Amino acid sequence: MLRVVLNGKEYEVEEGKRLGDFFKEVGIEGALGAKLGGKIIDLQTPIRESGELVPIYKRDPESLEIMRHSLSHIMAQALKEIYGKEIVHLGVGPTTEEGFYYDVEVEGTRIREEDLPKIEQKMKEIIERNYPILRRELDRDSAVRLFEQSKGTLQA
Amino acid sequence: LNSLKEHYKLDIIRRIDPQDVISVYEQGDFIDLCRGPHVPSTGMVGAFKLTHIAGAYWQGDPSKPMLQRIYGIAYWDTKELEERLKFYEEVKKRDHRKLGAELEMFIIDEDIGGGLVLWLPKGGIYRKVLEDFWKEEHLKRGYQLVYTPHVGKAKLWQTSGHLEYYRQNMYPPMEMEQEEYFVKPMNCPFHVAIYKSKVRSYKELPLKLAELGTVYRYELSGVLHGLMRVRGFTQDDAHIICTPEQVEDVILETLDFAVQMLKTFGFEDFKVYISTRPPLYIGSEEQWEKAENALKRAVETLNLSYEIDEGGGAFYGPKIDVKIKDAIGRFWQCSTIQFDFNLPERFDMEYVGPDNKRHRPYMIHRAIFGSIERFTGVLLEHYAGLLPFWLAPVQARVIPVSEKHIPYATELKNFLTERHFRVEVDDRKERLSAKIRTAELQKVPYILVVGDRESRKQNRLRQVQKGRRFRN
Repeated sequence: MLRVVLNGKEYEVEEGKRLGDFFKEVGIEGALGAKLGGKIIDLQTPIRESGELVPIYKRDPESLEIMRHSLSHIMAQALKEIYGKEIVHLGVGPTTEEGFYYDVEVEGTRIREEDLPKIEQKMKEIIERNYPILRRELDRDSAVRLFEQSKGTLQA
Repeated sequence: LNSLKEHYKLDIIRRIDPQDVISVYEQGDFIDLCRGPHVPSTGMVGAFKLTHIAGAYWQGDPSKPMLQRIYGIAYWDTKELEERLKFYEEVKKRDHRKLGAELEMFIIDEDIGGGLVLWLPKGGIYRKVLEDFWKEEHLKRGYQLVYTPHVGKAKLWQTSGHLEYYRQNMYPPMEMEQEEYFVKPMNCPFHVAIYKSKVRSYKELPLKLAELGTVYRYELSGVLHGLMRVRGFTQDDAHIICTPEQVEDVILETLDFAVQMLKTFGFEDFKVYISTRPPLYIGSEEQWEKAENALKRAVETLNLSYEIDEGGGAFYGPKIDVKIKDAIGRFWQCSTIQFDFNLPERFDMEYVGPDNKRHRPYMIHRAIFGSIERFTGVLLEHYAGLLPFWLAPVQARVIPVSEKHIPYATELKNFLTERHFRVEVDDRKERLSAKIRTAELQKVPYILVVGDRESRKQNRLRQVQKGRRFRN
């Protein structure tokens, strides 16, 4: 059992419980994630350490980091839809002080600044589709297989 | 196999600690290796805008492939996003690299080398005005101007400690007559040599040696940026050597000088930082305390608000940093006042006190602008290119309405030039509006259009002199 402190109260949490499930149990609503041990975890991330849990709401600056991170994925997805899944190769896509970036390589194409509105448009479509963003954890071998295989979707 | 060719992702997976959890995030048919965190669904993001694209080597390693880095800005609130975008628009407009080219002030020529600035004639005259002012102000305050060479023997840099502690920032040595020389990354050892060129009495102190000293420091090519981050630059350097009793007055005077100078250039808002003794230091605790107190007392006397960076000082002494706020709210590091307990020891600097005994002086490095290059970059961005009248490379441009007005335009130009104004005539065969446009683009403070009326009248120049026709 882990011990977490939330709003001054201590709770016992079983290791691996998802943050969102824990928040539901203790009646925390509207949070997008939490700070735990110097890191930001989202609602789907399993709690794996004891410590103080500070919920992150939209009004907290840390919430921007969560949202910007998702935007970098949405941009990557948009690029794959526009240029083709198999010719867009993704590097890293972190957040920055005011936004995000993604390092990408598009085989045979050089993306130009004029292409940005088109990419933005595709991103807006993906936002409208409102896909659930799902976290999965896997071992190294399955991860390697996943990023080598052609479809790029996780085989259950 | 490998048909997705997410080889960069595979590269990352291989470097993940086997103990660590590997996680992926999936949305629709898109899946990405990622530690998170993320919002629960794609519909829950805020307002965003893709801003620009840059090149980025995989893992920052120039031997690896270059990827395209696509940048975006994002906020929850559309209004906030728009404000930030407006700010960046403003930043772009004020980019000193763009302005430097438009104003024909400087260029960086890749055939010469990255981070090595060529000052064009317009930049040259501006720089002369700036440097003359700087020198005059220093002479007024009892500084003595010196000039020192660009290279010095290895032994000098050995004694100063630069070869031991600063070598990674220095250009490689050159050999001459079996002797190694280094291009200077700092002026200090030369100023110390000037101090030591004779026996110094306490009566000569504080000795204030000033030099616009050009130094060269190695910087990674990737971080070079216009005039702001360069490999060769001219420090507005001074070294003040004083007795322990003089420390407090010297620091107050030096900080006051710096602030007065910066105000002259139109900066009103300052952030001052005092960095104090780090865990590893040289010199005595007593020296540090004396120095730190002098720094604090000076900022307090001048009513400057300051922050203390506890333990953030260099190992050889505490310092004051002054940052200036520009027109769009950005802060730029300019002035530094830095104690040095190291060089006086290393070079065995001394003065003869009233007791006829030899004593170790205090030594202070200081720069007001930081460097001419960087300060010019800051000025250009602060003023969006429209430099104050006294600094403008061209203060007025005379534009004749037609060809027949050129003689009068030239006469007017000569009249003003004799009176030490920097004036040009635009006698190109262009339309008046095009000429005005050029002058505006080049941020010339005064545009003097002359036509029939001006040319016809007698004694027009006398009227100009009286200021009657000198409209803004």
